Amino acid sequence: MKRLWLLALAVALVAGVCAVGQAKTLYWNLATEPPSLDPSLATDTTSHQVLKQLFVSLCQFDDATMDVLPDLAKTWEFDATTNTWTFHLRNDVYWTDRNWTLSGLPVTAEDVEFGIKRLLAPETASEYAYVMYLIKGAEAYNTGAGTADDVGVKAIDKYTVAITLNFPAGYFPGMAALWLCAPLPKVAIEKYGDKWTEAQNIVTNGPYVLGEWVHEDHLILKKNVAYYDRNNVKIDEVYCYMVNEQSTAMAMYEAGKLDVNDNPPLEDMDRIKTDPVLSKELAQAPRLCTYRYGLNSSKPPLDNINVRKALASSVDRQSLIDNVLKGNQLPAQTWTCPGMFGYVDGVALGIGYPFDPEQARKYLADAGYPGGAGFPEVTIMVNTSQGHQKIAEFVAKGWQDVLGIKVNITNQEWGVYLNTCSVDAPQVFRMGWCADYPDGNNFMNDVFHSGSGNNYEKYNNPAYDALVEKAAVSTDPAERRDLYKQAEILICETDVAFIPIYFYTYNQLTKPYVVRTFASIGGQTWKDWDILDH
Amino acid sequence: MAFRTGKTGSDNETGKALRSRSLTRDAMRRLMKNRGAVAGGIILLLLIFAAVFANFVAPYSSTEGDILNNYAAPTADHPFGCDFMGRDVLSRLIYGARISLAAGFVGAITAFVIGVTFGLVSGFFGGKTDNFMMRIVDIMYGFPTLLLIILLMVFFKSSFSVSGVAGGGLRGALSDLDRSMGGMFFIFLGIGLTSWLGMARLVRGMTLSVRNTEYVESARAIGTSRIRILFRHILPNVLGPAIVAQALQIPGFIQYEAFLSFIGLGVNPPTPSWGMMLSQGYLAMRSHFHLVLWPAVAISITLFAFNFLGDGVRDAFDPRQTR
Amino acid sequence: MFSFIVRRILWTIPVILIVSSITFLLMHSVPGSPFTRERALPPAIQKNLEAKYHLNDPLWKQYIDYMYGFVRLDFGPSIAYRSRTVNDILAQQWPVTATLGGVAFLFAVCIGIPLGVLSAVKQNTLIDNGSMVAAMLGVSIPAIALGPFLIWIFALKLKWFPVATWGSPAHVVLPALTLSTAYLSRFARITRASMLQVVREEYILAARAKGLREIVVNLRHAFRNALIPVTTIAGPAFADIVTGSLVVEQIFAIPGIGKYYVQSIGNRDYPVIMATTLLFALIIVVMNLLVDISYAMLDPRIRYS
Repeated sequence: MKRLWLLALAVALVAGVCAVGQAKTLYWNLATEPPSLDPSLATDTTSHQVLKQLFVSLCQFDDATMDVLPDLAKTWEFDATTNTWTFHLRNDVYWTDRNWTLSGLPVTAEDVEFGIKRLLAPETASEYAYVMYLIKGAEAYNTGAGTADDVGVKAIDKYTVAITLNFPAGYFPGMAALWLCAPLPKVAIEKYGDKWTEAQNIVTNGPYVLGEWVHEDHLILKKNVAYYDRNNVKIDEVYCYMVNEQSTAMAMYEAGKLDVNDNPPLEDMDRIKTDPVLSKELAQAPRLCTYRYGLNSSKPPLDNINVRKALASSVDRQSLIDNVLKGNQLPAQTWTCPGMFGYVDGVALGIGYPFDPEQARKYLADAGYPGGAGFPEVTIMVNTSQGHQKIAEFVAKGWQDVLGIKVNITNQEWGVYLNTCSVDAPQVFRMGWCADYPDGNNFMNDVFHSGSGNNYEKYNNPAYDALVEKAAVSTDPAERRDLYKQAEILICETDVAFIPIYFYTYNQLTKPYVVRTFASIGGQTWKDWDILDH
Repeated sequence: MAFRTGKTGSDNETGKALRSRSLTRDAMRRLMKNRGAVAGGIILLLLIFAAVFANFVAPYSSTEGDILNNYAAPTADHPFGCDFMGRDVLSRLIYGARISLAAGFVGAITAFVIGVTFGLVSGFFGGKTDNFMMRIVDIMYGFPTLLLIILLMVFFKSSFSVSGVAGGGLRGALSDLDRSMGGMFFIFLGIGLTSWLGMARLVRGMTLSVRNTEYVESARAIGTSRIRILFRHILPNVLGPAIVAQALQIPGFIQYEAFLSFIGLGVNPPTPSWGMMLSQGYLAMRSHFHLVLWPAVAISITLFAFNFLGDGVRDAFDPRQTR
Repeated sequence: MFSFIVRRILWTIPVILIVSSITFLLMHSVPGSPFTRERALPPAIQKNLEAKYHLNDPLWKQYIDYMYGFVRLDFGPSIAYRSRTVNDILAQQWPVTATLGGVAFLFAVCIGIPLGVLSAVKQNTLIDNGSMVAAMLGVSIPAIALGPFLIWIFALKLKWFPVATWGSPAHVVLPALTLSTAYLSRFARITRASMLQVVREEYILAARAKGLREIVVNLRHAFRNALIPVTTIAGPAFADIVTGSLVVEQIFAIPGIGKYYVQSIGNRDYPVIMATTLLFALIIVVMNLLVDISYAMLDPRIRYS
C-alpha cells in the first residue's frame, strides 16, 4: 500500500516536472503587424488570426466541415414572426487581462449588445459595419439617421440576447461566428479609449490572452487559464513573429525558428518538393479564392468578343501552374472556386475556354486580325508585386507567342491600382477574390452583379443579374446549382467578361511534431493544435 | 548607401575654369598613368559596347525564354543560369546594362541641365535674384532625398502611367513616352528633379567668379550684350568643370535606379534592370543563389569601374591633391 | 557668432514649412485614399471614416490642422494602424532606426578613420593599396547587393548571425555593416587624403625636424588637424545613414521608421508620411547646422553674413 502511494507520488512528480519543463510553445509568423486588435476595426487576415485566439464570438466554424458550432452561445433559435434570432449564452465565460486581475467578471448578453452597437456607431467608423446592415435599424444608426436604441440587438437577461433582422436570413448563425458579433469589454474600452488593445490594457475572453505586443516585432499569446474550454487547450504559448519577407520566413523555418511556414516562397517550391524532409512537411489544401484577369470590354480591341475569346483561349494555365506558380493550384475556366456551394467543374464540363492555340488564332482571325496583323497593343496592369508580375509576364508571353500580338505590362502600387481599376480600368487587369462565406452567392452575386462595387469589369448583363438574383433567394439547392451553372456559362463563355486563371491552394510547411488542423476560412484554430515532444 | 549624389562638389575650386588647354593635355597624361583609372575606363568601354550592341553581344533574348528552364542552374548553354521565366540571366544582364547606364547618363544629364540653368541664372543675375534662388536651394537641401524620390515616383507612376488607351494632352503624351521607354522616363525625371542642387551651387559659384574677372568686365565695358556675355564668355568657362563634376555623380544615379527598381518603383517588366533582377534574385536566394549573385556582381563591377575612373579624373585635373 | 547661430536656427522654420507643404501636396496628389479597398466600401462607411480622420475637410484646413498639431508635437492618429497614434509609432520605431543608424555610424567612424590613418602612415605599401582598393569596393557595392551577400555568407552558410529581423545585438551586426560600408570606405579615403595633405604642412615638417618620434608626429599633430575635414562630413554622413536606412530595413526586415515609411505610402497613411518626412528633414537640418557651426568655430576666417 505504502509502495503504491510512493509510486503514485513519483508518477505525479515526473508528470509535474514534464509539464513545467516543457511549456508548449508554437512559433508562428504573422508576416505583418496586426493593423488592429479591436474586433470592431480589424479588417485583415493577420488581425483575425490573432483575434480568433483572444475573443470568443457567438458561434464558431468547424475547421473541417465549416459547419456552424456553438461557442459563446450554447443554443439559438429563430422566430419567423419577428425575424428574431435568440442566442442563449454560456455562463462560464469570463473576462480577463494578462495578469488575471479581473477574475470572476462574466461575459454577458449586455457585452454582446455593447459590442454590436459599438461596431455600428458612426463615430467608431468601422469598415465592416455594413456587413451587419441586415440587423434591424443598423444601417440607420450607422449612417446617422437612427439611434442606438432602435438597433435590433437586445440583452433579454444576463445570458440571453435577441437579434432582430430586416429579413429572415437563414445563414445568420454563420455571420454570428464572425468577429463582428464578439462581445466587447466595455470597462477597458471606456477606460483606455483607442489604447485599449495594447497588451497592458486589453481585456479578452478567448483561449489565449495577449501576453506581450512589441509593435512591428513580435507578439506573444499565453494560454488563458480562465477560458471555458481550457482543459482542451494544449499549447501554452504562441510566439508570433512579424517577418514580411517570405524568403526570410523560409530561412527561419528551416533553422527551426518557426514551427509553421504558411506561405513558402514559390522560388523555393522546387527545392521543397524534392527535399526529402521538406517534401514531407508540405501540405496542400484548397483555399477558397479565385485569380482572374479582368477585361475592360469597353476599350478596343477588347470590345470585340472574338478578341476576348482569343485571349482567353491562349492562356496555358497548366503550364503557368507547373512552371511559375508551382503550388499545385487548379486551372480555372469558371469563377466560383471548388469547395463552395455552386461550384461548377468548368474544365470537366467544357465550360469556358481551355488553352487551345489553334482555336485562339481562329478567334483572332474572326475578329479581323488574322495572325495578329493590325492588332493594337494590349496592356496588362497588375499591382506592384513580384508574384503578380511573374504571372503577367507569363500570360503576356503566351499571348505574344500564340497570337502574335504586342503586350505591355505596367504595374501600379496597390492603392493607386485599385483606384485606376475602379475609375478607368485598363484593358487587362488582375484581381483575386476570396470567400467570405462558402456560398456561390459570394462569388457570383457579390462580385459580378451589375450593381456590385467589386465589379471592376463593369459587367452588365440583365440576364446574368436575373440568374444570380434568383439563386440568392431560392431555397431549392438543385435549382440554385443549376442557376449558378447557367450564370457561369453566361459570364465566362458567352460574354467572356474576364479570364479565370486559377483556383488557389494553401501550401503550408509544418514541422512533424505539430498536430494541427487546417482552416479554410478565417484564422487557424490554435486551441485545437498540439505540439509533441521533439 | 551613397545617395548624396546631388549634394557634393560645391566646395570645388572655381578659378581653374580659366586654365589653358595644355593643362587638359597634362591631365590626360596623368590620367593615363593611373592604372586603376585606365582599368576602370576599359571596363566601362566594354560595358558601354555590350550595352549598345546588346542585340549582337547577348547570346539570347532578354525577354524570351523557355519556361521549362525556369530557375535553371548555370550550364554551358546558360553560363549564369536562367531566371523564373527560363530567360538567360547573362543576356538579361547585358540588356540590363542599357538601363543602368542610361539611368546613370540620362539622369546625370537631366540633373545637369536643371542645375546648370539654375546656377547660371542665379550667379549671372546676382543680387536679390541670386539670394532668392540660393535660398530655394538651401531649403531643398533640407529634403530627405530618398523619401522625396519615393513619393515622387509613386506620384508619377500613379498619375501618368495610365495603361491602355492614353488620355489626351500632356498627361497622355508623358504616359505614352514612359511606356515606350519601359518605365524609364519617370526614373530619369525623378532622379533629375532630386539631384540638381549640388550642380546649381557649383555653377553659381563659378559663374560669380567668372563674372567678376577682368576679361568679362572688359567685354561688358565695350558694350557686349548680356546674353552674349552669358553664352560666349561665361558658359564655356563653366561647362568643363561642371561636366567633370557631374560625371563623378554617375555611379550615384546608377544606384538610384537600382534601388528604385529594387523596391518596385523602377522599370516595367519584362525590361531587365539590375535592380529588379536583384530583388527577384533576393527572393530566390536560398534555392537559386546565382539569381542574386550575378546582378550583384554586375552592378558592383560597374560602380567600381566608374569610381576608379572618376577618382583618376579628379586627381588628374586637380594635381595639388595628394596621390 | 551667436547671432549667426540664432539665424541658422530660425532658418529651419521656412525649411520645415516648405518641406511639409510639398510633401503634403504631393502625397495628396497620389490617387487613392487610405480607404481604397479591393472590396469596395459602401459610401456611408467611407463617409464615417473620412469624418473620423477629418479627410472631408478642405485640403488647406487639413494642412493647417496638421501643422498646428506638429507645433504641439502631436502628429495625429495613424490611419492604417487604427489603435496607434503616430507619436506611438515614432516612439516605438524611431529607436530602432536610430540604433541601426548609430551603430552603422560607429562602424564607419571606428573602422574607417583608423583605416585611413593606417593607409596614410604606410603610404604606397601593400597595406595602403590593399585597403584603398577595399575602400573603393566598399563605396561601389550598393546596399541592395551587399545585404543579400552578407546574409548568404554570414547567416545562411556560416550561421554566425541571424538571417533578419531585430531584437538582439547579433541582429544589428549585418544590417549595420551593410549600411555603414559605403560611409566607412568614404571616411577611410578622406582621412587618408587629409592626413597626407597635413603631413606636408610646415608645422609638421617642423615637428619632425625637431626630432619628435614619428608616431607622436603622426598622432598628436597630423591626425588632429587631419580630422577637421573628416568631422565636417561626419554630420551629413550621419544624416545620410539614418535617412538611408530604409533600404537596409527593407532587406533585413527591420521594424524601423524607414520600412514604415514605404508601407505608409502604400497605405496612404498621411500622418505617418508627414511625420517621417519632417523627422528626417529635421535631422538633416540639424546636422547641416552643426556642420556650419563647427566650420565657424574651426576656421575663424570664414565670415557669415
